[in-house]
Amino acid sequence: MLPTARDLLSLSVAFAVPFLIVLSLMPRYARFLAKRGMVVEDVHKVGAPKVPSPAGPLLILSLVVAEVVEFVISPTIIPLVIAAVVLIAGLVGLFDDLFVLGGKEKPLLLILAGVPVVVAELFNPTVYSSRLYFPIFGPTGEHFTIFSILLLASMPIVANAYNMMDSFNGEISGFTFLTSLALILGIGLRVFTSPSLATERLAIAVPLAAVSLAFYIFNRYPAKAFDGDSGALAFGAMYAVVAVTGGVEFAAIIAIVPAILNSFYILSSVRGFVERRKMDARPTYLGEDALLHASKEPSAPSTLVRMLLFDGPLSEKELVRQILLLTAFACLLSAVTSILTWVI
Amino acid sequence: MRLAPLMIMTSVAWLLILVESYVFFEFIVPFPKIHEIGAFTLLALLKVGLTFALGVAWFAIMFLLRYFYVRSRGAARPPS
Repeated sequence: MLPTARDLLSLSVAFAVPFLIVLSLMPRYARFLAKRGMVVEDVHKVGAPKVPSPAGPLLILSLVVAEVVEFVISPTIIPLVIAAVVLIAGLVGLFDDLFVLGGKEKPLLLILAGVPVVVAELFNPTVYSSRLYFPIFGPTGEHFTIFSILLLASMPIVANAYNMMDSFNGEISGFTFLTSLALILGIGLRVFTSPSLATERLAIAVPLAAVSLAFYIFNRYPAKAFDGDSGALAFGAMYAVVAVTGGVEFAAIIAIVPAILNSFYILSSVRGFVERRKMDARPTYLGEDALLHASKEPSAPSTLVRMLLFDGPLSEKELVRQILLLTAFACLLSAVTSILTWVI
Repeated sequence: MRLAPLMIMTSVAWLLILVESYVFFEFIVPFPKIHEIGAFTLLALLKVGLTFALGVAWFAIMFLLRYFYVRSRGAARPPS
């Protein structure tokens, strides 16, 4: 099924509105944060320059506005559900930015972000399908209870996995942009090979790509703004809910495998949920050569970055390029998964 | 080529997720409900045990891959 003119309009608006909001307002918002002294040290650079943070509230605003506009164009409940998820996860992140939440409180609070999705499905059973679509093998049976529990659990897991990929200039914005492209490809293949699914499912995913791409312009090396936990958690929660409402959970998980492995290795090396500010040692350090080195401390968390640096020091810019290349590889595997699921 | 081992780990994680999820939904979930009693109790326990084993297998393999990766680099080994 080919997209109609209305579909194309809906997709264009879903991209243009949030992209332009971030592009036009971010410089002013960053100046506003700097004037109020809301800056953090960029510790991976010589001299640790101060960078405005958190830019999360503007990112959340642009995502919510985009979903409300989508609701106006195509009146289904799904864009509003997504806006609610982004708001809840973003507020948890903002609270963490301003007051610092504990290592255990944050995941527990993030479960709340999944509640609007399950509640909406109970009242309007079109929000998600409680079955998984397997590559080659096709769909499983309906398992509402198991699926809904997994959905609630996925919020803290995915949002925290995104948050743990937010350490270097351009890392979270580039990671979110690439993974959202994998998500859009998966949903696009599903929508255009299955007449039962409307294009709105695709349009609601597009703002994530638009916002992360626009933010990348300000977040890339050398960063002019940091998103803070509010931005990273909102990105992660939106990714999870869009994957579920689009019915492409499998492809979505594959695209974020580097982030899942990163979280798993961190949690297993520090033995549980520990707030990053309270970790004994940092995974990397800035050498006198202005390059990033892997920490030699045995108690330092085993992040993906530390593993990459075992082969030798790298500049921050090159390190982020390597991480994004690995993400692109995972997105390629995700694309293969989508093709195996929806085309073959 | 510093990315090659991490790409292999990502590919292994991908294959494991595909295979294990298929096993879970096609073979374990259709077992009888866990609150049923009598002759099905053993099957119900098996259901929980197999699910747990799938999760443990994924984590164990990923953990082993990291162990060998870190050891091959001769770097400071993280506590495990």
